[in-house]
Amino acid sequence: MTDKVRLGLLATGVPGLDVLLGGGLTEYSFTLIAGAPGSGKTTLAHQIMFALAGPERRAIFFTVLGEPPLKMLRYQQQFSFFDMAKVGPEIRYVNLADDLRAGHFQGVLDRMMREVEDFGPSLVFVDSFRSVVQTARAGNEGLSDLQQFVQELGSRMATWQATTFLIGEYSQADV
Amino acid sequence: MERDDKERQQPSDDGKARPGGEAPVDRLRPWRRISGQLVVLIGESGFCASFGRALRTLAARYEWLSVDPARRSIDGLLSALERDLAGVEPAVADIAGRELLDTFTRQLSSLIGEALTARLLEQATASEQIGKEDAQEHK
Repeated sequence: MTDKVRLGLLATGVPGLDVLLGGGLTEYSFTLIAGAPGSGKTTLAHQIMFALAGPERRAIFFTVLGEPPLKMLRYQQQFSFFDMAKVGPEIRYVNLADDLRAGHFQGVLDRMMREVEDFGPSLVFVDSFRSVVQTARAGNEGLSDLQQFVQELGSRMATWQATTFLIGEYSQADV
Repeated sequence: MERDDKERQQPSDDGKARPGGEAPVDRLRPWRRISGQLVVLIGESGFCASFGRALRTLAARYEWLSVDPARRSIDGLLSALERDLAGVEPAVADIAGRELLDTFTRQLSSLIGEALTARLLEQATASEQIGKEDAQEHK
């Protein structure tokens, strides 16, 4: 009974990043991709998603209130890593803007869980997570609810064995 | 309501419907499929905005198409479209319905490209094609 569980590593497909990460991202990890607006967070997330997604490892990309999804797809398909054949069977885009406008984290979380249960992804992306934070600060829900949301999301995604990425606009001071 | 019914029963050359015993055609079917597929991606508000734009574009040619920016739900938009199409000759409704679909698809393609549009609308496009073939066979 001395065998320890082996932590699987996922190669990101981003040149140099896997070296910095010691071989790749840890499977089932909960990663925050943070940076200033326009720094390439969404593009980095897409590059990782298209590198990792496949028939045996599906991905869901949740969009919240950031860039309109159609505009995002317009730009992302310009990159060589954007494989159109994966969109649909291996990669599903889900917009949560309407759910978030209703103003309840629980509603957003429930919708995410329904989509996750339906599609069974191994990779989950939430872009931009900052929108959820801003909704909290606007007073629709308290920050404690936000913490609960993050905790619950992390817990549920871990249960589903989904490697999760939260994408958000953060400055150095925020971090 | 009574006035509308009377108008629909008037035989005329202005595109208004004549009475007839033909089976009702579900012209909203492709829209239900398309909205079902796209709402996941762009949300209900995103779909309504795109649909509204296509409708407004086509309303320049078909003045009987009602355009109301206050309609913010898919159900509201499709119900209005159904009423508009039911108020004109079936042949005109078929043509306008197809043109609306083409306009919507073209506008979506101009944003995200033909290939991705086709991919996203694959199922709806396929069923629409089947519908066209059925219509040809019945002629």
